[in-house]
Amino acid sequence: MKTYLEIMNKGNDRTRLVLEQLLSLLYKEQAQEAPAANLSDLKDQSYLMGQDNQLLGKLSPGNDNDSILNKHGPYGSPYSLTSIFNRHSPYGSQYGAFSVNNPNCSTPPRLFIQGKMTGHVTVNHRLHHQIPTKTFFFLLEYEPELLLNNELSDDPTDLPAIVGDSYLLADDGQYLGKLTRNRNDSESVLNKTGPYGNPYSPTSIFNKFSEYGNGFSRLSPFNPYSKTPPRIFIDGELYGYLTENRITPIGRKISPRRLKEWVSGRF
Amino acid sequence: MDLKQIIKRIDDVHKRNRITEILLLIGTSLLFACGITCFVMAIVKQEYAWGMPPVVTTALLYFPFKEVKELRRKNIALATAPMLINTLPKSKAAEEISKLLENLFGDHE
Repeated sequence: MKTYLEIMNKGNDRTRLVLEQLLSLLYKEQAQEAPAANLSDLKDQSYLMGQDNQLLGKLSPGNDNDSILNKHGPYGSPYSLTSIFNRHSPYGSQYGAFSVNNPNCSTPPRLFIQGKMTGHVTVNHRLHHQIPTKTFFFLLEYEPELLLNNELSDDPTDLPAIVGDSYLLADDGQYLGKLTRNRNDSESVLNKTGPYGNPYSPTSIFNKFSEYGNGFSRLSPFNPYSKTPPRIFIDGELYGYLTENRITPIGRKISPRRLKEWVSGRF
Repeated sequence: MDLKQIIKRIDDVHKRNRITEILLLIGTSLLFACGITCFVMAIVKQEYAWGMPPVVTTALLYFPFKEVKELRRKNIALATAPMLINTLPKSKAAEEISKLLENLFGDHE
């Protein structure tokens, strides 16, 4: 329960702000004091490197100070300027010049596995050797061994299956949101402000003008003649199809008009 | 902005928090005094209806006490931060302050 002062300050708690400023400054000083990343020192190691030659963390156990997984270290903390997890840093901001979250960034961080460049960690689909940011975060959180062993999947959309999630997947491989009754989950199909539940989002089945939501698209569950509607996965396994088409494809079908009710009741 | 400026800012926030804490304690004391007065009245007048307000005021004391407790936790964190910077290497100090923040406000959203 929030205290009266928290409500009055609307989350802008003075103590929090000043401690965050202090932390950010400490990380900044640390980054300035550290010598520029020397590639010969990082030979045969796995790490993330900004295109301005700023080291953005090593793929090493979380207790290593230089590890990207150490959330108290300069590369894993959400307060550090050299962290991709800081939404206000040049490497994590939506507008950052070297950011993993900037969809227009042409100079995103590069991932090196055992000294070899594996790809660019970015949300910019137009870049070659793209490792989607979401995929990278998924692997970091759930399957760091896959990253370290360089077993990156060619199809990033099979990642939710690895972690056994329940989700919707379009026939072209586009992830269409998580099946969870939690309306505050940013990925939930029930979150009306999220990318998968918002009626104005291009990746939402509830957007009547999007490829995944209009009544005529072959990828849309609302097209009663579509043979390639979105697939429903439960705990990583194919469960059926989300479609208005009662005939094809063969298998269990859920009507998109009943989706919200079904998700609320089942998950 | 340098470290000195931030530490000065920490002192300011610490002072403000102390003032808020004192005001809360004064308010709490007043609330408590009102309750006690009503309780005494109930005994003196032998009218037990006067016994109800102390129950309400005592229940209401929960909220200021909660605020005071929270403020004290924050003040401890604020007082500790400069000491951590002065005594520990920067990387370790950053780690400890990050843990302080996590303990006080939970995970970063």
